[in-house]
Amino acid sequence: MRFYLALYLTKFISFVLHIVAKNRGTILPGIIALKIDPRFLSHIKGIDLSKVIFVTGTNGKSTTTNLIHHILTQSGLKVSSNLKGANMVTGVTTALLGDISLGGKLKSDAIVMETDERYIHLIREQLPAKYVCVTNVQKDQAQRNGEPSFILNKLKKFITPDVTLVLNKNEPNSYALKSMADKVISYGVAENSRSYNKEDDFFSVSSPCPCCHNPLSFSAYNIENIGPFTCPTCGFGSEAGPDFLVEDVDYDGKTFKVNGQTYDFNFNTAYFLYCYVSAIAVATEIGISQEKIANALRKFKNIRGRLETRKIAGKTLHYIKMKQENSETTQSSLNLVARDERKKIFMIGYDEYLDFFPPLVISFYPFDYDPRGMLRSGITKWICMSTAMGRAVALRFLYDGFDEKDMIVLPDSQEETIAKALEKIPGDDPVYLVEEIPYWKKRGR
Amino acid sequence: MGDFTLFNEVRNNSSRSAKEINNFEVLGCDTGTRGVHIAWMFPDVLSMHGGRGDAMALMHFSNLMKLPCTIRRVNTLTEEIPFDWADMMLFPSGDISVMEDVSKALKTKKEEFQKFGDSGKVILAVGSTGALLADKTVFQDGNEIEGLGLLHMIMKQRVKVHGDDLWITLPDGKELFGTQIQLADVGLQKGQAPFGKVVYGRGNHGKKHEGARTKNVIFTHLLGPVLSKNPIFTAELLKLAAKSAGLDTDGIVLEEKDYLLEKAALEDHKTFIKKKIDG
Repeated sequence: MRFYLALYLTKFISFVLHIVAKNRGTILPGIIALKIDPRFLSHIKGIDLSKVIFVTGTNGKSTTTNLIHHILTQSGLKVSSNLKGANMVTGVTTALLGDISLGGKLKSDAIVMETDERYIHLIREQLPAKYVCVTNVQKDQAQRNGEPSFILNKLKKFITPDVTLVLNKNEPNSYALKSMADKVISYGVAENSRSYNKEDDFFSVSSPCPCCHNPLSFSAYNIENIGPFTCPTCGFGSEAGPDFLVEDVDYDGKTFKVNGQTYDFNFNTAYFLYCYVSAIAVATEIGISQEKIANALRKFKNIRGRLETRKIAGKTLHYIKMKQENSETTQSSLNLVARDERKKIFMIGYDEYLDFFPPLVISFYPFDYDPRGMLRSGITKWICMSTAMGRAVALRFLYDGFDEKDMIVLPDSQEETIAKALEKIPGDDPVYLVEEIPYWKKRGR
Repeated sequence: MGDFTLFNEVRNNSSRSAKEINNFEVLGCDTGTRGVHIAWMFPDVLSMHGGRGDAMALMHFSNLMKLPCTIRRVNTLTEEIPFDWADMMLFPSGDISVMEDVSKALKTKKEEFQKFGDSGKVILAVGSTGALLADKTVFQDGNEIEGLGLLHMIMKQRVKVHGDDLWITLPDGKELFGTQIQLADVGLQKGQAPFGKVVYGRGNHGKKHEGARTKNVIFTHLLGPVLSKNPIFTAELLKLAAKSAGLDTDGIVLEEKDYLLEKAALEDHKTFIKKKIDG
């Protein structure tokens, strides 16, 4: 009874919201539905659990969810999804509401949901998705998630005998979950032209094996801390596989192969290869043919790019959005800058964490990545911007051999401040700006 | 501002496969020089929160102080621990989940660690790695691990992570700054001195104290990395380690001109924290 009350009330509220605030995302309907019926999700009828897929992990959830959704819809399925990214139980509920009939039955054929890694166990307890794709578990938002094992312990709670895990065999932390599930499908990316090894540097560090906690050995990295690995001590990671392996990557031609089938991809970094292959793995498992998957991926458009280009102070500015609390994505951003061998100006914005209470300064993140690849790529000026940690970040770059005479520290990353600084630099070298997304938006750029 | 040229010269001449790195060449010392010896413990295992920056800072400030310095990596949990060689052991911040296996590896050497600490040599453990020096650590699932007991404290895993700035003062008046990412509360046992007094932040248990210290065995929550961020403290540790080796430390000084940028960075952080305190 409560379920139907919740359903009808929230459908009405959604209708009103659609009229008064059409383009504003909101999870209010989901909040109300769960307030009235806390077990709302478990009361939805007609769900084929074999076509329910959750995507969780630190990075890549949104892109992977979008890819799976795209493949399934292109293949003729009606799919419920939270493509805008509200990934807690209220967001998942809101996303489903529009696809539930007045009789309480799900009208779509499949469900693909991005789910927050800290709360997936709560969502799955009500909606036991057959497939859970874990993209990776990395250091992220330390003030909230602490250390990777904190998130792994949360993730372990969702694993039940009926789940099929789709795991990244190149990412040690999440791959360690395989010992807990009866059915595991693995994916990975073979060494390719953009794979790299860490700098031959005494101060370079690896990561511990999640099983025996001795140092891991990576034969190469495709992304920071992700690549073909084994544990020399206990053998973790040395078994055959993965089941779905990306090979023959052609970054210029934008193609790659998985199990002999060629696929197109619309991006040019290894990061997205993992999103693609995990989507291919999931779609294959639920019975979509290779041909249909390939056709779908050919049409997939990059909806949330992280690279923008614009003009500022007469210079071309390439803005790369990063997650400053996540050293892996920052390293990817720096690797992108390093691949451009032209002379250029490099700017990095770091700031206090205003979205977290209490706000705080975290100056240790820069020591988790390695900017030295950029040193050899023609940086003529390097600029650190921050209200609270510009100098701290500059120190990090000095430790890596950046020349003090080319250093500029700005007191904030306001557009005016950046423009004034760039105006003083003669020439028209392009500018690369790497900064956290929310601050870019907040400062009205 | 301190010259990073020497540090980068040392670093560029090093390799990942090297067991040790030293600054003899850049300082113009003979190869047989007895400088300060630092064991960097399990750098690939204790690799959270930019901990390698602590090792980098030790070399950088040694250069500026013209202190001959050798840093040796103790890479695997089965490797021999260089008690006789080292004057200082650095245990950087690691994921709390590794502490059980690391503790098991160290437990067999409990006596040697006790002697090391008693002799005035330096041991620094940062963040969750404090579990290695503690009496014990109690986890949420009821599991307990025994530490070396060099510092009489009990750590208890928290349900929620605490993240915030941390500003402390030491008994000698020094101010230290950093970030605290706390996964375990720390209860000091009777007679155990804290490391510092909290000016801002949570410290051990939401009360006034932070970390723990007995002689030169130190545990702190401060991340930053703590040693790159707080040069005066780093210089003090280097001098203590050098003294414990019987080196003459009279002329070994970190001059203010060599850490002006760090000092300015600390002021930025202090200003930020003060704004929070003042609301």
